[in-house]
Amino acid sequence: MTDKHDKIEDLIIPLSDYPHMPYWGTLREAIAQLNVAYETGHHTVLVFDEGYKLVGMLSRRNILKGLVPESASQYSEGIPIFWDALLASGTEKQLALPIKDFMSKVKSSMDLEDSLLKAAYILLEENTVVIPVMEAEKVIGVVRMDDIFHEITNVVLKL
Amino acid sequence: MVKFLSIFDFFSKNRRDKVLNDEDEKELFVGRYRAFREILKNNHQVLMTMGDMQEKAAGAYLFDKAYIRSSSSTLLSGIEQIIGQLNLLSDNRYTGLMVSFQKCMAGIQHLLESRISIPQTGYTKDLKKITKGDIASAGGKIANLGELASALDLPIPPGFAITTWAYKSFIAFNKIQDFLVDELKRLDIRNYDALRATTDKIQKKILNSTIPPELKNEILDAYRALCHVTGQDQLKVAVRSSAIHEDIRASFAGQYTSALNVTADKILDEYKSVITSQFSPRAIFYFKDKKFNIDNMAMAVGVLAMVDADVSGVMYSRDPAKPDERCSLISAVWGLGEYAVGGVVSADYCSVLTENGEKNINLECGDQKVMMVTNPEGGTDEVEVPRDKLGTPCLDNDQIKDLVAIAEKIEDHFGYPQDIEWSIDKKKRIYLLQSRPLRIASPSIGSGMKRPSVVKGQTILINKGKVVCRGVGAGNVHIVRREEDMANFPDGGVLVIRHSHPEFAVLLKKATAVISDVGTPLGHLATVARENNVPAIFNTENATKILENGMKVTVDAVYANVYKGSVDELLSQELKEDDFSSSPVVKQLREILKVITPLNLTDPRSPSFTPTGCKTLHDITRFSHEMAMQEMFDLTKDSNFSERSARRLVAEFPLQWWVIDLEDGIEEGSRGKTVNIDQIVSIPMRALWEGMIAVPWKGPPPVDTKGFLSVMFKASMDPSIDPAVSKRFADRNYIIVAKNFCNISARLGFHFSTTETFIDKEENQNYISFVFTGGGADDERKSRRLKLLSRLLERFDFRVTVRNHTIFARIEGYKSEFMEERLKALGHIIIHTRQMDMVMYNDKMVDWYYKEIEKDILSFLS
Repeated sequence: MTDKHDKIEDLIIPLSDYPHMPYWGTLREAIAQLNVAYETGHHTVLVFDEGYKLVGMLSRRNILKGLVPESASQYSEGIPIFWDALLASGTEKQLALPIKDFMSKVKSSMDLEDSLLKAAYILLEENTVVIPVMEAEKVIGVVRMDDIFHEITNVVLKL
Repeated sequence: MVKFLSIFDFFSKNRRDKVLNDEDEKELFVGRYRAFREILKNNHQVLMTMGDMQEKAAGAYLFDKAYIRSSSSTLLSGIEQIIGQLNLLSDNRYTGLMVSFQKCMAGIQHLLESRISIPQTGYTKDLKKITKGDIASAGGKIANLGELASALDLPIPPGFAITTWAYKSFIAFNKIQDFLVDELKRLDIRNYDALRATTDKIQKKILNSTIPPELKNEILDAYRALCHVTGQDQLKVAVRSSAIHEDIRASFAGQYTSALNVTADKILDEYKSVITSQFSPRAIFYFKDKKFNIDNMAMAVGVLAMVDADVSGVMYSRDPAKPDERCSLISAVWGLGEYAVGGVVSADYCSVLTENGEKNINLECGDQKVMMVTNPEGGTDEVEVPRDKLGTPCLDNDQIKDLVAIAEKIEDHFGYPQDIEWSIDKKKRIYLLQSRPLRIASPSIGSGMKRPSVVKGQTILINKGKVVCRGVGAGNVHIVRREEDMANFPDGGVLVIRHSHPEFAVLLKKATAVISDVGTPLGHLATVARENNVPAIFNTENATKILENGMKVTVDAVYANVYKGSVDELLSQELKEDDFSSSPVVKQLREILKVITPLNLTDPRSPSFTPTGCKTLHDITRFSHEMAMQEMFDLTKDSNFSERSARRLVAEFPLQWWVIDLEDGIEEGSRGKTVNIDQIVSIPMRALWEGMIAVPWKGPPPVDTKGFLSVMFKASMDPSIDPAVSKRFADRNYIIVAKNFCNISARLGFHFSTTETFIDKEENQNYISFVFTGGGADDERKSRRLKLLSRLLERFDFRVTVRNHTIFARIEGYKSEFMEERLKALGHIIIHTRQMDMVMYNDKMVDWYYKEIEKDILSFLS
C-alpha cells in the first residue's frame, strides 16, 4: 500500500460538481437541486454565504425533518398517515423557508493531505455522510462516505 | 483571473474624466442628458418623415414638389440636429458624421434642383399610342386618356398630343426663355398688381410669338390625318391643356383653359392660347409660392375630335364620403359637359352602389333649363333644353350601368378612385374625355386598415396585424429566431420574426414577404421593407407560433391576411402601380429616397459601423441613435456624483441606493438627504421598481458598504484582482432618474447589472438597455446562470448577446405600455437572479429556475 492510497485526494468531488446553494435559498430550491442530482449520488447540499464561505450542510435527514410534520408520529398509535395529509399540514409554508432554518452546522473539515482513516473517523464521530475538503480556507470539494467506504473495502481485501 | 479582468474591463472601458464634483458639473451632466433626450425625439421625427416619404413614393397618395422640398428639409434639419446633439453628448467624438451628412445633403440638393427632363420626341403623337408612361411628353391629362384606350381598350375620341418637346421648340424658336426667367425671377407675387402686370406681359408675348414652321406643319399634318380617320373633312376638335408637372395636384385642376369645337383655321391660335394659360396670375402665384422651377414649365396639348354630345357629365368611381363602399357617383347634363363640371346648371345626380354584383341605382333628376351645344360654325352656344327633354332623365338605367362598369374598370386599372369626364354622342356612343385621380382622404400611414376582403375557399392562418409595406407575396416560411437562423435564409422565403430588429434588413433582399409578431411600423426594418418593396405585416402577435418552417404561405399585405398555401387569385393580380407612379414628381421623390432610406449599417458590431460607413441619411440616423445610447450609458457609468447631488433612497430593500434627479424624476418640492421611493415619479423607475418588489426577495440582509466590502475581501476568490476593481466595488449604487429616464446600477457581491431606459409617448424613442456580468461561482455555473438570464430576457422580448461572460440585452421601439411591462419583468429578473450562479448545479436547474421565475413574472404582469 502506497502513501497515495492512504490519502483522500483521489476521492474528492470538486465543488463545481457538487450541489450547493446560498443560505437564503428555499427548501423547495434545495429539493429541486437534489432531485436533479439524484443520479450522481450526491445527496447533500453545501450551504454558503454571499462571500462563498461555507456556513452549513443540508442533508436528506435535514430536509425530511423540514417536510414531515410532527403529526406523523401518530403512526405508532396505528393511525394511517397519507401523503396528501402531510402536504395539507403546512408543508407548502415550510418549502418557502430559507434552508438556513434547516441546515446543520459543519463541525469538521479535511485537508487534501488527510488520510482515509481520518475521514472514516470523522464520518463516525459526526454522524454525517459528507465531509468538506478545504484548501487555504476555501472549500474545494467534498468526500463522501460511499467513496471512503468503497476505498476502505478495497484496502481491506488486499490485506 | 481572466474573467475578473474582463468584468473590470467592461466597467472601466472608455472611462473618461467625468468626475462630477459639484453642482456645476451636475448641470453639465443634465445638459448632456437633455441633448440625449433631444436625439431620441429627433430620431423619432426623422423616421416618421422617412416613412411618410416612402408612402408617398409608393404612388398611392397625392403630393407635389413642394412636399418633396419641405420633407427633405425637415429630414436634413432633424439629422443635423441629431449630429450636433450627439457631439454635445460625447465631447465631439462624432464630428466625422458631418462629412457623411454633407455628402447626403449635396446629393439631395442636386436632385431637388434637377429639372424634369423633357424628352426629345416628335412634335405630335397619336393618342392611341400614348400610355400613362408618357407624362413627360404628353402631359398628365392626355397620358391618362391615352392609357384608357391603349391599356383598357375603352372608347376615347380620336386625337393626338402636341408634345412638351413642341413647347420647348416653340419657346426656343421665339427666344423667350430668358425673358420668362427674368420676368418671373423679379416678380413679387405678394403684390397683386405686379403679378397681374407681369403675367399680362408674358401672356401677350406668347400670343404674339410665332409657331415654328416645322411645328406648324406637323400639327396640321396630324390634324389632316385625324380628318382622314374620322372621315370628316372639316373636323372640329377640342384643344385641351395637359401639363406635366404637378398634374397630380388637384389645386391645378381647372387652371388651364381648353377650347371646344375648334375649326381647322383656329387650331394653331388655340394651341398658343392654351399654352399661354399656364402663365395666368393664379398659376404663376402657385408656382412661385411652391418654389417650383420655372424652367420646368412645359405644357403638352391634346387635340381631340369633338364629340357632338347629346349627354355629358362627370363621374366619380367612388363616393369620397364612403371610400370603403363600391359606390359610384354620376352627374349628367344635356349637351356638352362644361356645364356639369362648372356646376352652372342643375344636373341629374345619380349614385350607384354595387353589392353582390347587383347595381342599385339612386337617381335624382335635376332641373336643367339651358344647355351648351356646338355651333356648326365653330365654338359653342347656350340654348334652351328642348321641350321633349325637359324633366326627363339624361341617362337611362342601361347607360348608367355601362358608365359605372367603365368607372370600376378604370379604378381597378389605376388602383385608385378616379374622377372621369364623359360624353355620349347622338348615336348613343360613350366617349371618355378625361380621367384623373380623385382626391380621397388618405388612410394614415401603416394604419393597417382591414377591408372586408378575404379570398373565399382559402384557409386564413393569420388575420391581424399592421400593413407596413403593401403588396402580396408567397413563399415558404422561414422563422428567424436568432442570428444563427439568418445564415440559411432561402431566396424567396417568407421571413417570420418575433421582433422587427434592424439586423434582419439584410434578409429583405431575399425575402418575398415579412411577418413579425411585434414590430414598429416606423422603425428601421419597416423603412427598409418599404425601400425594397417587400410586402410586410407587423404586429401579428403570434405568427412565430402559428407558422412553421417550410410551410407555404401567401402574405396579403393589403388586407393583412396570411393564407395557407399559394393563393393564385391574389398572386395573379399583378400589383398595380396606380396612376401617380409614372408622374415625374413621384419619380423625383424616388430618386431622392435613394440617398435617404437605404440602410447599410444594419449591425452595430460590423467594422463598417462608423461615421464614414454612413452612406445615407438613414445610416446616419441609425448610427447616431445607437451611439447616443452607448454614450449615455458610458456617461452614467463613469460618472461619480458628489455627496450633495445624491440622496439616499429609503425603501424596504436589501440594497442601498443613492438617487440623482436630472429632471422631474422626483416629486416636486421634495428636499432632504433622503428620498422615499413614493416620491420618485420617474415613469421607467416606477415600472422597474414595481417588478422588483412584486415578489418578496429572500436574499441576504442589507449590508452597508463597509460591511459588504469586508465580506468581499474575505471572500475574494482571486487575490490578484486589480486594485482598481476594489474602487468600483466601493462605489455606491446610483439611480439616475428623470421623468422619462432611469439609469440604475445594482452592484452586489460579485454581481453587477446596469439598466438604462427611456420611455415616453413616441415609440421610436423608447428603449431598455441592460448589462449584466459577474458571479462568484465556478465558470460552468456562471455560464449556466447567463444562459438562464438570456432565456428569461428573450422570453420577455429582449434581444440578447453574450460576450466575455457579460450579457447585453436591449429592447427598443415599442409603445410605452409594452415597455413598462418589460421593465417590470426586468425588475424581477434583476432582483431574483442575483447570486443565482451558486445554484446552477446543472442544465436541469437552468430549466427549473426558468420555469419558476417565468411563472412568478407572469403572476404579476398584466
